[in-house]
Amino acid sequence: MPVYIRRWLLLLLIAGLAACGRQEPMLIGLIAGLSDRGSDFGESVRNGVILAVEQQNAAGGINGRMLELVIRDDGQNPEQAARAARELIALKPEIVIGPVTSSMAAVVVPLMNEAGLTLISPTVAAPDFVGLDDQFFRVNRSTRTAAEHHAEILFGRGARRTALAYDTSNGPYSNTWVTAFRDKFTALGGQISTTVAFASSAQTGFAGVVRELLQGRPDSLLFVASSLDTARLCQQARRLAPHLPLSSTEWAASGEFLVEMGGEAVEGLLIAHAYNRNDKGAFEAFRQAYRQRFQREYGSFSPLAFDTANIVFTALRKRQPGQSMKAALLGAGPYAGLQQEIRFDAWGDAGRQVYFTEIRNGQFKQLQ
Amino acid sequence: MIRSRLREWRLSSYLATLLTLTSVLSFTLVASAFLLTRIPQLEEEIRTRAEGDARDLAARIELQLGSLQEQLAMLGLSLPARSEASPLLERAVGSGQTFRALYLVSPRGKVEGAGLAADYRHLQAEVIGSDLAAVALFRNVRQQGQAVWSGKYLSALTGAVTIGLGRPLPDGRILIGEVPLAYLLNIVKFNLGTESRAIWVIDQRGDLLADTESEQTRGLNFYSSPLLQAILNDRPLPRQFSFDGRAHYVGGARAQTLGWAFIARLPAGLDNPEIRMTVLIVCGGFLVSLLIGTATALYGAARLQRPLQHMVRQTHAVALGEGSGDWPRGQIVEFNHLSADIGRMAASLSEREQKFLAIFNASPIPLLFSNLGDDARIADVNNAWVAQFGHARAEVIGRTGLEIGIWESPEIRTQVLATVLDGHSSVETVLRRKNGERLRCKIAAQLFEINSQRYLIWVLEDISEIRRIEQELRLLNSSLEARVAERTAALSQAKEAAEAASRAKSAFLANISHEIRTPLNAIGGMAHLIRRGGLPPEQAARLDKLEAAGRHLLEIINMVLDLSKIEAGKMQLERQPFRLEMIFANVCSMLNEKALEKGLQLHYRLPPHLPRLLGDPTRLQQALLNFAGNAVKFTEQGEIALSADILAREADHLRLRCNVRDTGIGIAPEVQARLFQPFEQADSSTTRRYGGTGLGLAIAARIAEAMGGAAGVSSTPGAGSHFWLEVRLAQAPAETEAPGTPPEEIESALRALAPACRVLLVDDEPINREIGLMLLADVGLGADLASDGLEAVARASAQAYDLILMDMQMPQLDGLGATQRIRALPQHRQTPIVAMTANAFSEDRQRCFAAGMTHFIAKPIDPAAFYSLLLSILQATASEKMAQIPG
Repeated sequence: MPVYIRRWLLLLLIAGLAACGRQEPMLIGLIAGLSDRGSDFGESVRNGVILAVEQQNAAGGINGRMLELVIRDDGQNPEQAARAARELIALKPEIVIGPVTSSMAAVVVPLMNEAGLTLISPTVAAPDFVGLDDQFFRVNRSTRTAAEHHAEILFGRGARRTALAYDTSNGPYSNTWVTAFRDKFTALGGQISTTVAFASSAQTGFAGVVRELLQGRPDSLLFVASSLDTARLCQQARRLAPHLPLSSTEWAASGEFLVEMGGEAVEGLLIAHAYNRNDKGAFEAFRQAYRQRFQREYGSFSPLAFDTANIVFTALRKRQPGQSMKAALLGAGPYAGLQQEIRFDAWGDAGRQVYFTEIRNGQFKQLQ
Repeated sequence: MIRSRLREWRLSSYLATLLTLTSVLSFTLVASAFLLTRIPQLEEEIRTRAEGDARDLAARIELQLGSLQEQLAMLGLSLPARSEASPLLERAVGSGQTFRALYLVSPRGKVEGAGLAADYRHLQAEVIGSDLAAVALFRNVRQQGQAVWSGKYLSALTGAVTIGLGRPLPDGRILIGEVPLAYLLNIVKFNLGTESRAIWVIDQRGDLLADTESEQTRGLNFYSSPLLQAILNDRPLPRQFSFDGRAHYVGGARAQTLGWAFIARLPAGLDNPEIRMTVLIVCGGFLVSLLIGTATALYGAARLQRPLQHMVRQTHAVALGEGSGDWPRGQIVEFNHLSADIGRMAASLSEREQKFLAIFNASPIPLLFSNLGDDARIADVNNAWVAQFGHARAEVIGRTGLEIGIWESPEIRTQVLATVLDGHSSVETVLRRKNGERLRCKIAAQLFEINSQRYLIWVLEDISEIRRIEQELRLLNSSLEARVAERTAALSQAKEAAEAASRAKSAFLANISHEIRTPLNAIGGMAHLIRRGGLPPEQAARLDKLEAAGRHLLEIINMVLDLSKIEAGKMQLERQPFRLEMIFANVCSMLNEKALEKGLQLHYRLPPHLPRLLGDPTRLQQALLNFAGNAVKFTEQGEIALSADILAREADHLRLRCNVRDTGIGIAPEVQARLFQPFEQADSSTTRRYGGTGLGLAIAARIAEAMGGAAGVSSTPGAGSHFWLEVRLAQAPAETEAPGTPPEEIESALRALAPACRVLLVDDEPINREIGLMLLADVGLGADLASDGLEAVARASAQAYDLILMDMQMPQLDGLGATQRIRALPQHRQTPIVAMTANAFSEDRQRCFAAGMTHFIAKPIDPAAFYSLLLSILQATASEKMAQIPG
């Protein structure tokens, strides 16, 4: 055989061997607030996603490819969020899960739209993002729905004069929530005695906020804040008005955190969870798995995050070659979550069933 | 079978490639071996160092945090029992670097006192009274009853992510301090160490507390990672850990008290600077070796090439047939050998070529060299060809014979080619010169092959000249033959004439001798008879002289005949035993009288004990007699001495010199030379004075020559002469001599036999007949007579004889002829026939015996010998007769 043919064969062989390498893992991006004030929220979402990813990888990945999670912290800070978003975009993941707060979504979504990268958030609820034909998918129900539901429940429990405190740092969420609640509550016949806005920071004096709220002599207090702030508010509320019923939006529903942070102060707090804690089926398995993995109880958005991740996996698995992530997500539904079915509309929005819970003796008691 | 095409390389590229490949291969092998052993070692070292670093950091952090623990302990001890703890706590917090906040918590979890960093001081009022019962740290401290470090958690009070340290106080209260993460980060930052090595600080739940490499923790949780599990369970770590898309070497440690894990990571593989450096060095070395290899190869090739190229160029020149200069010599033995050998080869090739070219061109015969490709084309011609055919060499090379017009026609060419290629040796045809002249040529061609190329060598001999010459020769030949025939005829005529003349001469001589002998015979015979009749002594003496004269005359005749015979080369020598003394005695006795008359002394002396010799005594005596005779003749006074000397004794032969010395007149030197030639005498005056025939010496010389010797003379005029005769004679064997029978007995025996014998006497001379009769009658024998051969034959036919005495010289039919005829007769087959002849020499005898004669007697007849012979014959006849009678 001529010399040059032999050489080429050798080269081919080497190339072939080299090419028989491992397949590249699939990148999944995650952007969430992981530092300081919103970190419990972000962490619970993160953990839910991590759990889902690790379970999926243990099951062999998707179509033989392993999943790799790339996490960036938006720090609940617009600049940091923009930076984090850009970093993620540069890594070219299949999809990005997050962000967790509407305020950050306001920064991140345009960037993602620009980059053509699909973004799916387990928690963002502000209506600003509802009904838009863009790259953004939402698994959670919107604030309006949440607020109206909450107003009904609260009214149903006998509240007639509610004082509202809300965190302005998550404007898109809080504003819309408050507006929707007010509209519904007053429509029902209730009254908003006082609405106090505060900016969540280390310097925030929650005692002052509570005092201000109490000035209107409400019969119930409603907090639209993160779990930390809600815990703080509860602490002050218990000090200043020990017997007023308290309730909080689902934003604060890192329930276990609340208990941890709030202690006695959160006793009796009414809060909405996006999961049914009494479910003993797959949910219980999820709970056990979470606890084993993270040595703590799940945060209330972990199930949502878990579901969101699984939605992504399903879409990835069912995706046709050359199909965009958005099309895959829209086409692969309806999705089976832990407890409920998730269905996207043409705008990539879904609804969520919510269960109201009361904290009693450090435990959560779900209202029917 | 498919032959693979081999590429051709230039030496430099080949060497370069070869050496490069070799360098590459060898380096690759070595490098691979090295790297395969070194890199895992290096990796292990790196891991160990990473582990060391992790332990280092762990130790440091533990130390630092340990000190915090002590601080807290001290603080706890110094807390007042009842009064406000807050100021103290506040003071303890200070700037908030170490502790952001300190809480004194009641056993039930209520914050009793708090000290907050400046940033958080405004929360002081809120914080007091907060419920920390559900906080994990509080619960753990309560549970374990000892100082506990928490993992990362979000403090509800300060709203900051913090690490908590809790410590139980003796009174059941619990002191909790919040340590800002920044504090931890500071410690970690101090510990940067190597740039590429980063360390994760991981809490009990797997959350990343700090990363030396970046400020951001990126929300990593390692709890499920096998890496953390390995560290927490004291198992060996995986060799490599993939993070952020890259592989890392990891080493880990645990901080026991904290429960934290420290994982040091370094980029693995080529990302790792050490490994990169090692590989780079190896690869660098590889490249260097490659470069060196290539450079060396190129340099070596260049060096090799110079003498090689020189050689190549020169060899090429030689191959193209151009001359060559000096063959290069360099530093490489093999090249020098090659160069020298090629030089020698080229030289010898050139020499040989030139030699052959010289031969080719020197050949006088035209030669043509053609190569047989598809057609026979001329490759070369020699000078002779050029001269013969008139074309210049340059004109004809590469062309065919037809093109240059050498052939009469293409058909002839084809035919000749075919004939020649067929193996026939030569062919004749007509070829044309450049000027059109026709030449008849003999064409021979030899086919041969060199390197599978076929060639023909043509030999084109112009034979027109030859043919012309042949023609001339033929003509000449025929004329020559005619002439030769003429000459031969003439020659044979001349020869015949000569022979006729010779025969005539012989016949003449024979006749003359016969004519002379006959009267001589008469003289001798008569003398004998007269003597028989009785004479007075005086008369007897006179008769003797008469007889002597007759004998002398006879002698002369004999000599003349002798000489003529000798001249004709027909002398034959007898071989019979004799004694030299007899000869000398005879000679002396013969000359004695003469000598006495002249008053000379004549004597002889011989060596003693001479053996009997084998030879011809007659001839020897003749020669000696001649010498002695001359000596007597030419000496006036003094003596004549005969002697013999033995010159040499050989095995069977003797060399003798017979000398005759005289004191005579001598011979002048100029005459001596001529002496032995026939008819020479000293001078004419000598003849007149001394007589003689002039033949004696010549005959003597011939006799000496015939006897293997020579004759000679030395003489001093006036003093004397010395004639000598050298001969070589064989020694005769011992004789058994029969005693001689006295003559009277012979005669009486004859008389006894006579009556029974019939004799025929044949002689043409009446005198001889008469003498013969008388001799016979004296012994009682009668005889019939015949006067010539014819009559003899007639008589012999008519009657049987017991003895025939035949004369030789007779007219009409001589003795020989008659004898032959008689022998043809039945009754005379055995009859003894005696030849009576004057020719007494052996050659004559031979003739007689050949004719059929049985015996021989010389004329003049010596009666005694005659009677003796007769007796022997008749005795033999008688005894035969007796034998034939039965009974």
